[in-house]
Formats: sequence, structure tokens, C-alpha cells
Amino acid sequence: MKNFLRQLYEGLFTNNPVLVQLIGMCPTLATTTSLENGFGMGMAATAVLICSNVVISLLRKLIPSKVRIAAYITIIAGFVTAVDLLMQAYLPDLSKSLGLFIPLIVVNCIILARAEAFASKNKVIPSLVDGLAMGLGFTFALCILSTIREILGAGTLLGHPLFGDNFQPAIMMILPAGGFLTLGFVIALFQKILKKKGA
Amino acid sequence: MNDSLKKDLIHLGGALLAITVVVALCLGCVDALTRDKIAALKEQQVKDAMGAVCGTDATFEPLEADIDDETIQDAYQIIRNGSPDGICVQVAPSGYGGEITMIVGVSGEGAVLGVQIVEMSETAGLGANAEKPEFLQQYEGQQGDLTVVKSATGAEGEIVALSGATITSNGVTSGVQSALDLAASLAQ
Amino acid sequence: MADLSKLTVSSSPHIRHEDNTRQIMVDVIIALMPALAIAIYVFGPRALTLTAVSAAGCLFFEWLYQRLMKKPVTVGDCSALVTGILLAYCLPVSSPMWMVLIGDAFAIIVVKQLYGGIGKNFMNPALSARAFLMSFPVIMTTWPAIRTKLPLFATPDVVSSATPLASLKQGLMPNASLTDLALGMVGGSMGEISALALLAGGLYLISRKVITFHTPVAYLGTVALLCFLFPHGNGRVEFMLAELCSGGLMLGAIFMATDYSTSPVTKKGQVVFGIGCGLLTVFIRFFGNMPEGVSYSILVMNATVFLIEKVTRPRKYGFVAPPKAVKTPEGGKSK
Repeated sequence: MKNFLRQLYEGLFTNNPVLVQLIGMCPTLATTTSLENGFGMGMAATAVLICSNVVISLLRKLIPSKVRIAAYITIIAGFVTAVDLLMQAYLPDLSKSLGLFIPLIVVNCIILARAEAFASKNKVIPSLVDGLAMGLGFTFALCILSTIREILGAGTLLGHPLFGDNFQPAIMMILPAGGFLTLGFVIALFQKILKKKGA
Repeated sequence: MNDSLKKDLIHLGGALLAITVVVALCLGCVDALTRDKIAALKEQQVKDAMGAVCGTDATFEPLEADIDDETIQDAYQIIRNGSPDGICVQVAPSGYGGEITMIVGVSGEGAVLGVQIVEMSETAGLGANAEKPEFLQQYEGQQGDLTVVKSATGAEGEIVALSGATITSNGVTSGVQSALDLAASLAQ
Repeated sequence: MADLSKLTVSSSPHIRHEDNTRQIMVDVIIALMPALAIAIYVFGPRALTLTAVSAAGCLFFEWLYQRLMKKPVTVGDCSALVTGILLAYCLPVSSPMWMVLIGDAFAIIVVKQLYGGIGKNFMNPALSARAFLMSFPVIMTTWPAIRTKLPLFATPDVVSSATPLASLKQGLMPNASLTDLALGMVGGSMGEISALALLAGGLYLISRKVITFHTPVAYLGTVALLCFLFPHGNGRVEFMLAELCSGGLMLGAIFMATDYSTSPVTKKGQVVFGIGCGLLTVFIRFFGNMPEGVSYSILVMNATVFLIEKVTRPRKYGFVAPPKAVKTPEGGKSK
């Protein structure tokens, strides 16, 4: 239990995949234009991450190390395609707005990185927890970014207008440039908070 | 080739093959589960859009005509009260972020009945505003040649561009124009 | 033995000049004044209030940031003042004041101070802020017609009128005569309209040795040459002059491409920089979606300054290139 909490804490904060490890930048920048998209992307990636971590951990003794990357990618791609199809069937709206980025989870480095760095060396339960922790960390970062960008760039949150009609949203914030700006500021702030806690 | 290398290759290839086969089997199951549902959803979406554009009392029959406009994907004859009344066209002009799939209805008199966007990947907050009724309603009743302008001057056939998204506005307008042109050529 | 008592003996540098940042910035501000005068004449007193608000905003944000971060306050060097004026110059005169202040904050805090303050920013603060303010595309492309009566501070409600560049984009010669274009009796961003006023400022800066002619001449020359070679419409020379006098070209070439911290140090580098800006400007104007390309072309070239400096690094005095490897005569393999 203690281990579980520690892993969760690491995934969310001290070893957050986006804000500390700086991996998985492509979906982070591209899909955080609204909170709904950011959260949906985070959840989809988390589902894939948990499944792939569990399966890879189960197969860790069977997969020959020489072809492990190819094997991991095949497994990950399988899960991503399954998630993509399921989302198209049962969450058509979200699947429409995330569009191309769901298939691209295959090349999200977080998933391959966790497979290589954690799942291939650990037992099933810790791998599952690791997938959950890292996935939630990813979702957490995406939610922060997308909340900021949606409020500033569109003047809405979850699609509801927050301000009066006179509010002029800064469209730049939901364009790619705004993604980089927000990411930079959030990482800086996060580092500052982590340092203070560490000290 | 020595024996140990051969064994190694068979071992590696076998492992990969096994994984691939299992993954493929699983995907096949998921696909079988979801295929009908996805197809039905897509069809429903197009149907809803066609109904919204042409009115719920309309039925559709595939249009038989030579269409040399490549952006037109599908064309239907609108049947109202048993007689043909205009056409309904699925067009996919290119916008800023790829094709914009949309449904355009044209009345028997050759005026736009309505426009609905089925699928697009325009920039959120800019081009994606093309979905909003304030923009799409501009097309209703238009005929002849359309022009995209930045601010209205009151001339006929004018479409006021979405602010900051001229390319999307041009794309949608060219799609509507294709439908209008098709209707005009059929009327001749 | 000569009498040495009259000679001062000290370590180098021996020749001193009373140039400092403040003096340079004051010169730049003086050079910007003719354009401001024209702007006030054409757009009315709001041009002045807008510039004043922008300049004051930049000074305030610089002071605020340095105060909060407990850094030495360097507001007195007037560099923020120049940024504020330049930013106001590349906005439409009808821009609301809140937008100008957002631009000020972005220019000073994000672009300048976060990178270490004066001399350390790698992009032109005023231009980056303008690019950021494209967040409000409607405001940024609403050009009030000249001589429109505008309130001093409140946000005016104006209808956009065509700018010369927009006509040029559509392949038409602008409505205004070349004289009007040169003098600035046309619509456009506040401080960019009068080519002559900006040129006068440029000549002043060159005569004061604040800038050298290399960047502006390379920049304007490239644009002129390309427009002369590939004119749109009829009349090569007229088209070329119209392109040179429209949009932010003069403002950019004289005041922004010559910014010390964001342009190359060597003359050779400055020429390369100017040519690059010129090429990009023409490409964007001819082939891009937007009518104007000056701000983006300067920003893009800002980002390449590091590379330009690497290539154009001057050779050390007395440096002799190592002799090239002697080619052996063909066929004769040396053993």
C-alpha cells in the first residue's frame, strides 16, 4: 500500500512524465486546446498505458530481448487501435475532436518508455500501478495545460462561456504558439513548487 | 549459417509472429464488435445532416448524372411529396486542416437550402467556428456566384469570412459553390 | 629624454566615447518622432495617446518585473520606452488600450526580461508582441480610414478600410498616389504609414552612427530588386515603389531589423540578415496568406542570428589559413 502511494505520488508530481521527464510532448502540445480534449487524451493514453504495462510485464520473460522494441510496439499499437475503434463506436464526439491524435498514441514516448524502463523489469501488479500513476500524471499535466489554454484562448471552460460578451479571448493561446508558451510557464512553476517542497 | 544462429532466428521470428498473431486476433474481435456501430453512426450523422438541411419531409434518391467536380462525394435527388425538388450534395472541399466534409442542400429553384458540416479538422477557436449557425446561415437562400468578403457591403452573393479564418471560409464557400454549380448544370 | 609628465599612462581602452544605452535610445526616440508627427496629423490625437500609453506600459512592466524579482531597476536606460513606441507604431490606431497593455506586458516580461533583460533577448520584443497580439485578429486587421475622428482613450468602433498592401495583394495598384504613399496619407498601422518620415529618422540614426546602413540597405534593396524583377500588374518601377512604401517595410528595415541585441554584430552578418529579411518579406507578400510579411520575416531572421554569426565570424588579425592539401597529379599515385 505504501509503495502504491509512493508510485502514485511520483507519477503525479516528482516524476511527472510531462512536467518533469519532458516526454510525450507531441500530444501534450497538440491536444490541450480544450479541457475536454486534454482530459480525453489523457484518459485514452492511460488506458493504453495500463494495458500495455500489464501485458508487457506478463510477457517479460517470454519476449526475447533482441526484438523487444518491435514486440512492444506491436502490443502498444494493438491496444491503441482497439481504443481508437471503441472510442469511435461509443464516444463519437470525443473521437471526432481528438481525430488523428488517438492513433498517434502508438508513438507517444511515455508508453514505450514505461514499457522499457519499468514493465519489462517488474512484476505485474507494480507495472499496473506504474501505468496508472504515469497515466494519471500525464492526464494531470494535460488538464492543467488545457484548462489554462481554454480559459485564455477561448474564454470557456468545458465549453461553457466564463466571461461576458465583451471578453476577447486571446486566440493565440489555443494555437500551437500558445501551447509552447503555456507549457514553458507551467513547467517553470512546477519546478519552482517541487524545489520548494524538496528544500 | 551455424546452427545456433539459425535457432536464434527461428526463436526471435517465432516470438514476434506469435505476438503479432495474438494482437491481430484481438483486434479482429474488437473490429467485429465495433464495425457495425461505427458505420451506423457515420451513416446516421450524414442522414441527420441531410435531414437538417433539406427538411425532415424529404426523402432522397441517388442522383444519376455525370459529375466532373472532384470535391463532390455524393449527390442525391431530393424527393418531396413524390416529386423531385432540388438536390442534396455531400462535398469535401479543402480547408486549412484538410478536407471539410459537408452537406449542402439546393432547392428546386437553385437556391441554397442549408449547409451542415459533418466532419472537419480546422483550428479550434478559429476555423472550427465554421460549424456555428451564425456563419452557416449566411449561405441560406444564396444563389449564383458567391464571394468571400471581410466585411459586409450589402452586395449579393456575399459571405462574410470568419475572423482570422479566411482559408476555412473560402473552403466552405467553394464547397457550397460546387453544389450550386451542379444544381445549375442539372437545371439546364 | 623627453618630458613624460604630460602624457597620461593608462591601460587600454584609450579612446572613450560617451555613448551609453540611454544616449542611443534617446537618439532612436528622436528618430521616431517624424513618424509620430505624421501619425498624429493623419489619425488625430489618439495616435499620441496610444503611443504614450504603450510607452508608459512598457516602462511600468519593466519596473514591476525588476522590482518583484529583486533585480536592479534599469528603467532609466529608456530601452523599454523605445519598445513601447515601436509596438504602438505597428498597431492600428483604433486598438483598444487594454490590448496595447497586454502587448507591453508580453514584450517586456516574456520576450525581454525572462531571457535576461536588455541585450539578452533573441527576438525583437515589439515585433514578438505584435505577433502575440494577432490573438485578436479582428482588432489587428481593422484599419480605420484616415482622418476618422477617434476617442482619446475609449475603444472606438470603426469600420475597416482597405490598406495599400491589401490592394497590392490582390494585384491592384493602391488607390493612393505614390506621393500619398510616401508621405503617409493612407490607412495602415499607426507609425508605418509615412515612408519619408521613417527614412528621415533612419538618416538621422545613420548620421549619429547609431546604426549603419548595411541592414536597411540590404533589406530594402532585396525587396526592391525582387519587386522590380517580378512586378504584379503594370509598371515595374511604380510597383516597386508602391511595395517599398507600403506596410511596415520602412519601419521594420530601419528600426527593427537594426535592433542591436537581435541582429548580427558584423557588417557581413548584417548584410546577410538584411537580405534574408528581404527575401522572406517578398515571399510572404507574394505567396503567403497574409498581406504583410515584415514582422514575421524579421522574427524568423532573429532566430537565425546565431547561425549567421557563426558563419560570419571575423578572422583573427594575423591569422593565416593553413595551406590547402597539395593535390597529387592525376594518375600519379604517390607512394
